[in-house]
Amino acid sequence: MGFLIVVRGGGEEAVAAMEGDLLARGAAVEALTPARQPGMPESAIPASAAMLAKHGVIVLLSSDPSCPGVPVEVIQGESALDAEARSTFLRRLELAGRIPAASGELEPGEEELVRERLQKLGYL
Amino acid sequence: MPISPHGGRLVARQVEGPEAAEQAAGLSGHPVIQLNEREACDLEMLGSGAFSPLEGFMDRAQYEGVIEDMHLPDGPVWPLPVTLSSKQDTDSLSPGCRAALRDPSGRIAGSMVVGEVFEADLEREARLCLGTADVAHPGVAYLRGLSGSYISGSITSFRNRSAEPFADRKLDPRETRVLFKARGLETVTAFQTRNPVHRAHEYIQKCAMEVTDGLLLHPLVGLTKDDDIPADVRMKCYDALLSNYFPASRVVLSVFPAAMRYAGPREAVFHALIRKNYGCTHFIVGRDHAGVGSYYGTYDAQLIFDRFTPGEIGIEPLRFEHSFFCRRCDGMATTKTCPHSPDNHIVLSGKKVREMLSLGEVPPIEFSRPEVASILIEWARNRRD
Repeated sequence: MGFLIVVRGGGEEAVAAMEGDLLARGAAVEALTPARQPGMPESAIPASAAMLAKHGVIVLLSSDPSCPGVPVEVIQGESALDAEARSTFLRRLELAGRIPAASGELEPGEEELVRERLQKLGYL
Repeated sequence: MPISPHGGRLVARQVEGPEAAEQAAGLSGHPVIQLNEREACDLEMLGSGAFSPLEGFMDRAQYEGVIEDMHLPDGPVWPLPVTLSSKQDTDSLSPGCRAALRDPSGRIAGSMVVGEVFEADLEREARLCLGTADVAHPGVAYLRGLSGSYISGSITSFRNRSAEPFADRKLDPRETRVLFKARGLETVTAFQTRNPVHRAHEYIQKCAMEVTDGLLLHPLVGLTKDDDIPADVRMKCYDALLSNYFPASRVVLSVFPAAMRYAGPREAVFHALIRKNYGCTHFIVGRDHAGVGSYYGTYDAQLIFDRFTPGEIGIEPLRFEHSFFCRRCDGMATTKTCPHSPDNHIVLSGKKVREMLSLGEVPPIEFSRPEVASILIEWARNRRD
């Protein structure tokens, strides 16, 4: 089951920031905002959002929907535009098992440093 | 594919070397929070990611979720509180302020962005987490020494690794993960101990190695009881055992810098989850794991895992019976595999072993490897002299 994220304020820039972070984690994301779906009547957004969420998509909205039974998370636009606040918000969702975790993998350069230390200590 | 850390991502909240010194210097003028020995151990564990997904000392919601239900508010299993007690006036600690964390040696060992200060009922915590409020229990005695007020917040740990005890034998979770990958160990069993390894534990470890690729021998060198054998002596014993009786490419010896809680079953889960963060896929849970005295049932530490779904824990507990040498079997066995009566079994109590060592007597070879026994006899002799 997907869910809805309402980005209150901050405009398309805030929605795009959220979308970028979610896509980077491999989540299925769709933004249903007037700018991103120009032909879609506003009245059609709740039903579309609910349908997408039912099929596991995380739906980004710029206004509060009326979608009974669909989980909704809310982030203020200023938080969505702030990398650290966005990270905290996503971390909460990650721990709740609602979005994929950030990889936490070491960058190649970092792994090389770890290998060097392991060699120095005689482990490798 | 390495096992995922608990909560999905390995937390990294530590800085080292010049950066650590610089950050510590930058805290001049900020409030200082004193850490006790356990909290200093916890700070290091938080910073290295061993306590992932925790990012700092717990707030009230996390604390309540953990002591009542063994879950963090966001969902992951977490069986024991990781808290920072206030030792002085907390008026200068406003939410969002940055404070220096000073360890018992006086070193600024980290920083914390303060979340909240909250009151806790420590007797309730003891009953729920330790299963007793008896002050003779070391975990209860620890709680009795606290103020009852906790300070939460996300931390950054300042490491000075070269100056840490067992610096060249201590690997962080990121390092063990890289090491297992480099050695091609896809499945690794972790073995927690705060004692020398005798034949009984060696047998269990080797049983585990028959079904997994490698072994992480992870002796605890943080805060333990006064009557535990000192960590440096134990390390010599482990080295002697591993170099003589284990295949080097499949075993990793690294110290575990955590403090004991003596919380029995809850601590067994705690230890398992932490080893998952170190990249281990299996964890040995013996009888009365992390127990003390007679506060916990023999199998409580094994049975507690049944309260969770395998997906919630993520690391597989390997439950072992007490093992021994059986004269009739002419080999190591457990009550699961040996049909003979106890009078055929060579079992020595810890007290008996200590008595023998202090008298310079070598325990039977069926109980302890001679290389290990000689180190312990030497230690006992020096202590007596």
